[in-house]
Amino acid sequence: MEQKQIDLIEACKRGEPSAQRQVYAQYSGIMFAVAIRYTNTRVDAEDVLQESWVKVFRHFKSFSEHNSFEGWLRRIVVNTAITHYRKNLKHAYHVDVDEVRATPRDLDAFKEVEYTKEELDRAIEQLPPGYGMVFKMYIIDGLKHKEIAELLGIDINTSKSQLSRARRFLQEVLVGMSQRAKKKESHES
Amino acid sequence: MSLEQFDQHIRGMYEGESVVPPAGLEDAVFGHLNRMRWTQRAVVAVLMVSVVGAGYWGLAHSQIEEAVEKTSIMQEVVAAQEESRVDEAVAEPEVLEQVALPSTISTHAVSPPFTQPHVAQEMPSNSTEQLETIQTIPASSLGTADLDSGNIQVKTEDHWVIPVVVKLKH
Repeated sequence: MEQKQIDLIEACKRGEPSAQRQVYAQYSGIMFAVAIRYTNTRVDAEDVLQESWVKVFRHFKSFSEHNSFEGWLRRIVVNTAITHYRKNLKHAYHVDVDEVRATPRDLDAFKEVEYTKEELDRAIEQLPPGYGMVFKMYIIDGLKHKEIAELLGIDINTSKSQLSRARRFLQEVLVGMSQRAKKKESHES
Repeated sequence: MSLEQFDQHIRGMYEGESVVPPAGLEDAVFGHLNRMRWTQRAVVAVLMVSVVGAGYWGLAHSQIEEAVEKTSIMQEVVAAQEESRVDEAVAEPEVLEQVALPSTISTHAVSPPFTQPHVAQEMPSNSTEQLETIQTIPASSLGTADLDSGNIQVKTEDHWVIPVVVKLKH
């Protein structure tokens, strides 16, 4: 971590408003992207972001410079989003397991699949909520299975199995998208 | 493609992803923080006032209790002193009789106000000498005595003797 960044964090720990504004300006975009990923609507994402920043500034002293600051912020957003999600939870994880349609697939075949970021977003959106949550937390935001299990109130093995199923499900969806795109291309040519 | 590669590929697509939040959100966040700070300060102030108030009340209460205790002790002391004075007053006539019964002087009953303790306290240190002086007056030279005023007026046939007030203690 750069000295400038350390100084900024120290100033935030002392509760200096100018430093807090600086940190907000620097990281709010990243945090908002995370919040959007874990919520269904933009309004929910804004609520999560606001709540997350309040948590960040209230608990700034608990941050250790030995860790990644961005990682710490991401965890707070994810944590807040999960809490928010749980409040509005209408679907249990065990239902998601039953709903899964993904079948084991050879990952080598997946090499040929081409997709854009938007297609990937859409594919992730199609994941059953429980899978999607574990997938985003583990793959995109870099949380460990232990952390995920604690946050979601599930067993570590459940987290692992849900991630595995999420991968397969995602490949299925992306391959389907890719095949449709190829068909469309060949039809047009 | 291995699992690790697949994960890396996906992660890479989201790396550095940023979405600009609405402009009003910053003010909302810092406004919320300010309100929280003020609330915290208010709570701390109220707590401090409560603690100080409770401490002051406790102190005042203990002082009142102490004062009441002191007053009652003083009242007891005063009562005891008064009792002892009354006892002294009762005992004094005997002393007076003992002292005022020289063979050379005629004595008369002494009225009670004459033997008041506070009067006795004001007795000069040379009262013994006075008594001795009185005792040396020859009984034959004494005439009548005016007993109404409590003062002993002694007169001879030709001239009056200067009145002497006899104050006695113990």
